[in-house]
Amino acid sequence: MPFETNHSLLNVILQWALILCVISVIGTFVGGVSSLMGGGKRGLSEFFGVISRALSDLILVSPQRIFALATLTTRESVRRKALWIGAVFLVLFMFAGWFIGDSDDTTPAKAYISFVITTIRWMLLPLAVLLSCWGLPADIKDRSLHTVVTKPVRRSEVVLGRIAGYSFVITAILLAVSVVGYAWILRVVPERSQRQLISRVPRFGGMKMLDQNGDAFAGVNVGDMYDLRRFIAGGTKELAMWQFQGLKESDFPNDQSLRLEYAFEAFRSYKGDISTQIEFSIDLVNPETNQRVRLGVQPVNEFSSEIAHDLKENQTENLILIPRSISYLDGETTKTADLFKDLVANGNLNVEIKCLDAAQYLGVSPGDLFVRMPDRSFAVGYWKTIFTTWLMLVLIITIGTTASCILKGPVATLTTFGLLILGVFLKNGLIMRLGKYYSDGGEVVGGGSVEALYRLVSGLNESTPLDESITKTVIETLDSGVYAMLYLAQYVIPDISVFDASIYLANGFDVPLATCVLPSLLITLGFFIPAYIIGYFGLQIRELEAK
Amino acid sequence: MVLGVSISMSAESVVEIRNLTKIYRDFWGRAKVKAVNSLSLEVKKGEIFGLLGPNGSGKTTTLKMLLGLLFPTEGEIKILGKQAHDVSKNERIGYLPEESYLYRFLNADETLDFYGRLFNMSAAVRKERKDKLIEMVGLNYARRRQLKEYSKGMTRRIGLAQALINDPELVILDEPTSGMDPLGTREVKDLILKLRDQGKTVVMCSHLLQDVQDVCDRIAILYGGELKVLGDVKDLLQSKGETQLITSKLDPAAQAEVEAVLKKHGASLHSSSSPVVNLEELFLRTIEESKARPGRRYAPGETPKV
Amino acid sequence: MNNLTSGQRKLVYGLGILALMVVVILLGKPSEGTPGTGGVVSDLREKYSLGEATLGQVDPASSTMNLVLLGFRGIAASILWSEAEHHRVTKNWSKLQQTAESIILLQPHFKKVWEYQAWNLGFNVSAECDAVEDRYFWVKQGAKYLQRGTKRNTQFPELFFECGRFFGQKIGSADEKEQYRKFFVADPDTSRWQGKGDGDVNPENKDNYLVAQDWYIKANAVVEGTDIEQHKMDLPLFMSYPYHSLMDYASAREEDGHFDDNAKIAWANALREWTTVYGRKVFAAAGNGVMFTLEGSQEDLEKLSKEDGQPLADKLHWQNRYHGTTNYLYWKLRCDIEQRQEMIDARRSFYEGKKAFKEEGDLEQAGKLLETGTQLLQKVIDTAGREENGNSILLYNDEGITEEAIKSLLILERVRDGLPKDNFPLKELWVDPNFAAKRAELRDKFIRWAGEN
Ligand SMILES: Nc1ncnc2c1ncn2[C@@H]1O[C@H](COP(=O)(O)OP(=O)(O)OP(=O)(O)O)[C@@H](O)[C@H]1O
Ligand SMILES: [Mg+2]
Repeated sequence: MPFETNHSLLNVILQWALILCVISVIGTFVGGVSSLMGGGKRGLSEFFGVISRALSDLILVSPQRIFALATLTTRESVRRKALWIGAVFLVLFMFAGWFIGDSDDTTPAKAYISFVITTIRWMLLPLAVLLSCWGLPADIKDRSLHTVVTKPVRRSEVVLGRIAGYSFVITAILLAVSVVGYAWILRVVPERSQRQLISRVPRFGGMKMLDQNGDAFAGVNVGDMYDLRRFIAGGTKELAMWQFQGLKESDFPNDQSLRLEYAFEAFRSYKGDISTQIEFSIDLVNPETNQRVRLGVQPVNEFSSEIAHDLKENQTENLILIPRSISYLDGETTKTADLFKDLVANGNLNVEIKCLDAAQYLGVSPGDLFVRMPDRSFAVGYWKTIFTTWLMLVLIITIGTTASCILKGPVATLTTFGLLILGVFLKNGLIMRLGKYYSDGGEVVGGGSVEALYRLVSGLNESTPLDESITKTVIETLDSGVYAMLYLAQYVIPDISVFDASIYLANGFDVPLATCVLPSLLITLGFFIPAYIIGYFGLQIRELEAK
Repeated sequence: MVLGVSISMSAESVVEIRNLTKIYRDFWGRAKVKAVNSLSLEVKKGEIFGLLGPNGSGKTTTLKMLLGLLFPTEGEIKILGKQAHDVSKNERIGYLPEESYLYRFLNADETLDFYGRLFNMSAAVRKERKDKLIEMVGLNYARRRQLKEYSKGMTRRIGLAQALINDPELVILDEPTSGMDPLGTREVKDLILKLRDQGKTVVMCSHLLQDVQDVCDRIAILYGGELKVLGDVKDLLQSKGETQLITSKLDPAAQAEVEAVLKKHGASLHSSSSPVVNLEELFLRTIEESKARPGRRYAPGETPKV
Repeated sequence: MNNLTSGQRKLVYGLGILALMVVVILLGKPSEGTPGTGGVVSDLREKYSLGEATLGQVDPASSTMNLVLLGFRGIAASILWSEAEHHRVTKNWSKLQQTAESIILLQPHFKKVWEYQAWNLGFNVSAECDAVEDRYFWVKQGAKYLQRGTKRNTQFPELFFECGRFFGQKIGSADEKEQYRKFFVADPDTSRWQGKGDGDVNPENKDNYLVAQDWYIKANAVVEGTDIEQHKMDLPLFMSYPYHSLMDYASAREEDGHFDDNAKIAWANALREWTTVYGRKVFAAAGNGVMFTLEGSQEDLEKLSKEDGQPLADKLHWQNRYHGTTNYLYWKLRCDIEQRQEMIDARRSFYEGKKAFKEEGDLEQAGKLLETGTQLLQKVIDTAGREENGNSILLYNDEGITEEAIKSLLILERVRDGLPKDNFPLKELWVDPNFAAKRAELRDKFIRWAGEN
């Protein structure tokens, strides 16, 4: 399964704090200088007045007032009925979609799960945007906000109250549709796919591939565009080794077997005997004593788990059960080894996989073999997924509300949607391009946007270098400026894909805390704080009167 | 009644405006309208201060600057001893906007409850105030109806109730009687006087000059954003240089005698005062004069000649 | 109008609405099934096959979907297509399948969608799996997808035809044909189908070629007697598929090792259908519309000529041309020959000889059997006749027999340590330069199959 391994959270947080600090310092500096130039000494003191007021406004907020404003927001959403239109639309769509396809009893649960989650995500997302982007501008336009701000209400409380109110509304809707979605999944997933409704808890290990000489190598690409899995040649000494850590005897009470689950790919360089599958061997190796136990031989069962087979006991679930005490052949004699006493050293265990069929290949990726810890129920994964979805919606509401503090409804909507579309579809591409741009030392074929425009107008093809001239210098400076701006922009665009936990849930995995739930939480918080500050200033430095 | 009709000059000022100027700008930052021009004013604690002027003369703009809804282009504002942008001053202020900008999807009860919450009032206090105010503005019969169904006068009434929810020290009323029926107008006037009796300060603007004359202690007349007239209502409406006598009933002979005596010395006078012009006259005259002699402003100590 | 009272005005509006409604109802009234019973619009719709209902089964989900998407169906479909491609590249098969389902919700009457995605599932995805059972599962998924396509689109002969191809060619001549054909009547999903074939694709538990025949016949039924056209090949060729399926069935039985009386019956059946059903169909020559039948004798054509007034010479000319295109006469001869006892015996000898060689390792017996086989086949070849240049009709028209014969010779060569220097049966296959490429290819295969000596 293509899951990232842990990235350091502390680094992320530090980076975020750094960026926030830099931006605030720059903002303060620019503000200070411009007010000094505009109003002299008095301007400067006024500026610092604004800043100190902002600090107290941002921190000394009253929960009761926020609650009052949130309640008002909720009432407004409910009474304005915009919400109901959304809800009706949602129900309509769900019903239309929920009869998708003839319910074939071989359809894997995956299809239903990702359908429900995707529908919920994509239906509530625009709702959240519309909800959060139109309320405040309407409030300002009707001047009902005037009456509010002539009460002892801080503008920061208005921002928080709005965010809280919309979040409450969207939470209620999300809860309703999630409960329906959950019931629907349980009811509609065909009986034989029901076993896929589970939250497996994988413990991944680091993977190394070793070539004939025992040196690390990257494996072979067998000509797949999709370079997830790399291949080792069968019938040779090439092997893939997983190093598992932190295996504790106490995690497997009552002499439970240790379960290894795998999902490898096979590649045949010739047809061979089609009726027998390609096979691989599994060796358990103690990383300290190097004691080695051949566990046995397994067929690859390539992609079998995609299919709702009528399974004999764990047949295509691709499970390898390792009992506490393993009997194995050493030469001619049968010996036994104790899993935790003989093989696991300080929680570490190495597993080596070799392909047995000569001239055939076995494709592996780091996530392809993992220790399957005791399973959790489907509900656990489901509600975690809903939780990350909720975080995403709160993030959207935060961004939408902030945008609406500064912009008018339609513009705020477009901005928020734009940011989301960038976040969903372009963020990865942008980061990739930028990475390439900077790793290539600022060289791009055909140049950046300004150079490209110049070439377009002057009919110059992209491989002809520009003449050395002032024009060239200007163009390149401008382009590097554009890239620098994009570089900054990548931090402003939220990575929406992080919130999508359905990839775990649909594949029968529990939603991991470290790589999904926590990052989602951090992204939401990370955006919440600056958005809150920006929203506050948007309302504060603006004359609500002047339209 | 300590702070009754007559105010000593030393009473503390609740509102202080100095050299206030407001220029409305368009999107490009170009000056569009100079709505208030170098306005200086002071409102003392416990008085009812009236702000008069024709449409577009800058009354509302001035009030909004007091509340921090608009930012002055120049000049200084001190209100209840604080800056206009300080939200904590709002704890002690009640404001009735020119039109009642309220949430139309709430009913009267919910409206007052909501604004009460914004003052961090406890539920019990909110309930008590709510009941009292709704009773006071006479909306008991409609307290559960959404504001979008209210008539203009009803909306004014709930607006007024909203302004008083926090039992404010300073009440700012922008045309409080507009849209009200005669009875309502009467009630509002009584209310304003009652507020003053409770020691509160009221700043109001209105086009109903008779009402202003009835309730205000002091007035200012603005024209084109400039202060034209400022002073006690009583002083302003007195015609100096003339005396008006009111005596007991005299027979013709006595009348002749009195006249004769009056020629020599004064006699039992029942009343003697300057003839009072009404506010309408003063207002119209001020406007005419301002049109005739633009740029001439109110100077402290000056009383307009009538 | 201005001096009407409000009541009068309402009345006028009401009457106007009523009048318009009457017109709408008259024009749009749905028909009761027989033409002419509906309104003008619905008649026209029926005439030009524009209604959903006339195109095939109506799917409420699909209609709702289009409604919900307002005008954005095209965009949504495009996004789904690229998503499907992404799922294919990243080997996310169940997602690919689901996306294909979503695409057909949006474009239920787009033939290419059905064809393309069915092939994607049945060929591309299937080939990715290592276990034959899993491959077979995906072949079935492709077939089922196509089957649903035919339900939604009763007017696309190509979809029915492709179904036939799935069950005929894909299952019958893939590398895994041996397993596939078994699975077709005894699904690996035993608990679901109780040892029978998958009821969704093979409800009557028939041989795959017979199921293929059913689909080809349905495809023919769509074209025959209507003005619907198929865009695959010349019509006479297109129409020959059901009958070829019968021959495929007969020979597949023999490849499976069944040489009982039914073998003869199967071939007889094929011959009968070929000549009496297929051969009697009246075709119009491409381009000029000259009518003829493939089986028709001179008198038959004369009769036809009298009916439609086209000259007999033209008919004979076109019949001849199409005999070439469809190889009509050869297949007729082939069906006839395959029924002969010698031919059946020859095949049996080959089959058993191969088995003795490979499975039992009884080289002596294998040699004997294969020798008998070659002798029998030689006899059949000789009686089947030769073309003017002396080439055997049987060997030069179809690779099936040739391959089997060469394979047998290769085994014979192995078990006998070489073939006789002088004459031996089927020597023409061994020396004719026309078969040199085939011999080389088969020799390679043979070495991989039997191992180096
Ligand atoms: N938001 C605004 N943008 C631009 N100009 C404005 C704005 N609000 C008021 N003005 C202008 O400022 C001037 C003063 O307006 P203001 O509302 O203060 O008048 P007013 O004395 O309250 O009048 P009225 O008696 O009609 O209520 C007017 O010329 C008006 O056009
Ligand atoms: Mg006004």
